[in-house]
Amino acid sequence: MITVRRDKAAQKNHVHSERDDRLRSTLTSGPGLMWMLCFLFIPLLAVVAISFMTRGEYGEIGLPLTLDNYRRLLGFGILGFDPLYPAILIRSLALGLATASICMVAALPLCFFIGRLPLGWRTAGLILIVIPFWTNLLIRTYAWQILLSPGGWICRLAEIFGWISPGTGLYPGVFAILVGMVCDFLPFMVLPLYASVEKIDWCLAEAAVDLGANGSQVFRHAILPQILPGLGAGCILVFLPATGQFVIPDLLGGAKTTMLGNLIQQQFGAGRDWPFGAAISFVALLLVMAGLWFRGAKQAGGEGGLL
Amino acid sequence: MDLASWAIEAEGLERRYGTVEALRQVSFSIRKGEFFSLLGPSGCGKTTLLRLIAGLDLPDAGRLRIDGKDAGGIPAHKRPVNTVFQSYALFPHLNIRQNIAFGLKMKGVPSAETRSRVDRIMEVVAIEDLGDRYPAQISGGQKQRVALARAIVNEPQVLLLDEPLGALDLKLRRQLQDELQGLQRRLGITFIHVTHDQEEALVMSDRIAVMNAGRIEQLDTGRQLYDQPRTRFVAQFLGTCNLISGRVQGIGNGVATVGTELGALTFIHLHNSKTLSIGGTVHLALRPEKLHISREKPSGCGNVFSGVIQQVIYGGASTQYQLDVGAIRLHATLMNNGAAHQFLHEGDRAYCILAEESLVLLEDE
Repeated sequence: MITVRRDKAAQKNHVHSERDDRLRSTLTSGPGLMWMLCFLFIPLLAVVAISFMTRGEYGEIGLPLTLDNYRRLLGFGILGFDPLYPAILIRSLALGLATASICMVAALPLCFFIGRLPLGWRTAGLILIVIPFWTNLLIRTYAWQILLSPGGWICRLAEIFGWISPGTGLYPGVFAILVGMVCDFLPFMVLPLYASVEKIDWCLAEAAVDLGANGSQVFRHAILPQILPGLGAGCILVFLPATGQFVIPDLLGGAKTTMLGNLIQQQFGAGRDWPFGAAISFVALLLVMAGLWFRGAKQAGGEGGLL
Repeated sequence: MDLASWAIEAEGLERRYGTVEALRQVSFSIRKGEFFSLLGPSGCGKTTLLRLIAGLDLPDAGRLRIDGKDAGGIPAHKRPVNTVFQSYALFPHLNIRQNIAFGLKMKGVPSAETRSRVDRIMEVVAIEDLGDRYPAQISGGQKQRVALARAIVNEPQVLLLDEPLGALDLKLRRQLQDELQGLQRRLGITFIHVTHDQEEALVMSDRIAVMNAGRIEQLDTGRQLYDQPRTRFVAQFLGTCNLISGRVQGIGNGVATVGTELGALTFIHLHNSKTLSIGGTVHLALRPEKLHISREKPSGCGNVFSGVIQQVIYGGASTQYQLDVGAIRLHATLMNNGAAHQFLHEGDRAYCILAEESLVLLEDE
């Protein structure tokens, strides 16, 4: 009998604690959920809704519902096919891709270098990587303008080596844009990559050497699989904002090239075409989601399929 | 022995890490097909020596020959040597089959041949049904087998084993010791086995190098090491040992006398061992199982001393006694085979006999 009673008491306790748990989880996750609902989900819904509406004569948003905004983005405007918008989209993606690739190539040796430093120096190295963040992006970008403009010492050096013809500068141009982009985004690649470089099990590299792997084979088979998660995270952290970046291309590219970022900004600002701006935003968001989903699916596909 | 029969020849190997001398003037040779063990406490340099042979580390001085060829210029990935790592170091992103095939893949062995060799070796170490699993999905003992298979599938001249059984429980360890030894006999590969477990070394090895503080203290067969230890370190590292020190009092025909705290001790002294001088300090070693104890005073033999039994530890097959003779405590192990000593108790008076042929003269100063 005693056991039965004790069981009932335990059950009661159990029910009680379950209710407690639910209350606690509601209380703790509630504010976060509300925040997400108010500041992410509802605005996003608004963006999607607006993207299907029509721009009025004075820039007001109104009916009827239409797919014209998306059609325009694909290049089918009122004057027939015009590749302007698809070109902007591709140019932005290319810039993001190029930035991510260069950051990756630059961050790999850097992370291994920092990882091999004595313990105290490693923190110092990481701080040095992050320090430029303390300076405003605009100021850093203007600094590059000065450094890369004709007559600057970098340009003179480039002239001596015969990389550019005398009198021309490295700014404005694609080179300047890439320099600015890489400098801005490198920490986003370095930090996650360093986190996985630090955790590398070097014993696996020794095992690979012992089994007859040469330098590049050791990297490919024993090191790369270990840092792939960090590399993937870094690429996403760089590629996504780099695709939407427009300040740096504007300032260092000579304001001649339109990027996805300034295209959207124009629609919501001077252009006063919110529905079109919303459509561009939504398409960009879909592209990003597709990219993330692809990565997730690839990771879920098994450890063996990482490469 | 001609040159071709040595798998490894080391001459004066030295390795320093900062101010720590990991290896000091290490020289030895290992025969082809030998099961060779490096035995010593942690930090004695045995793993460093293994890494030098594997090429994962380079000596500061000295020469190393593998299969008669100078290994100095051969990088690690080209040496005919494979290692079974202490942590196994299996590639977590490859399945068991891919792990084992790794070495063959690096060498560019055709895939059909790789497949059949991997199949064969998985059968040898009895892991046929693990092929598709990943290292995280198998047990410690299975990982050990995979690590072994991954190394021997390359048919190395020398297989290096860095405490391969260290992480396993006792029962599995005994079983794998047997298997490892059987495998070595069957394959005929030279095994160099690093361990700090003296029993494991004695059971498995043809010869053992006992290492201490970066040096090889003694290199011999297990039996020689146990019966004729040359230094105090070897005598105490392998099993337990009674150590008795004294001054030489007389040197006779094949026999020497030493004055010790017990009294005068005589022992067999052959001319090929350490030369003695009157008044010089010597150290003698005596294994506990060679110390005889009896209640009655034996007649007709020397080196008999009277003492008091301090402790009796019954261990099933044998009993351990601690006996105080004056200020000296002696350890004796006697088999429980029905002899009279079984009636000895703590506090009893007893006689101990230190047979002169069982006393081993150590080389320590």
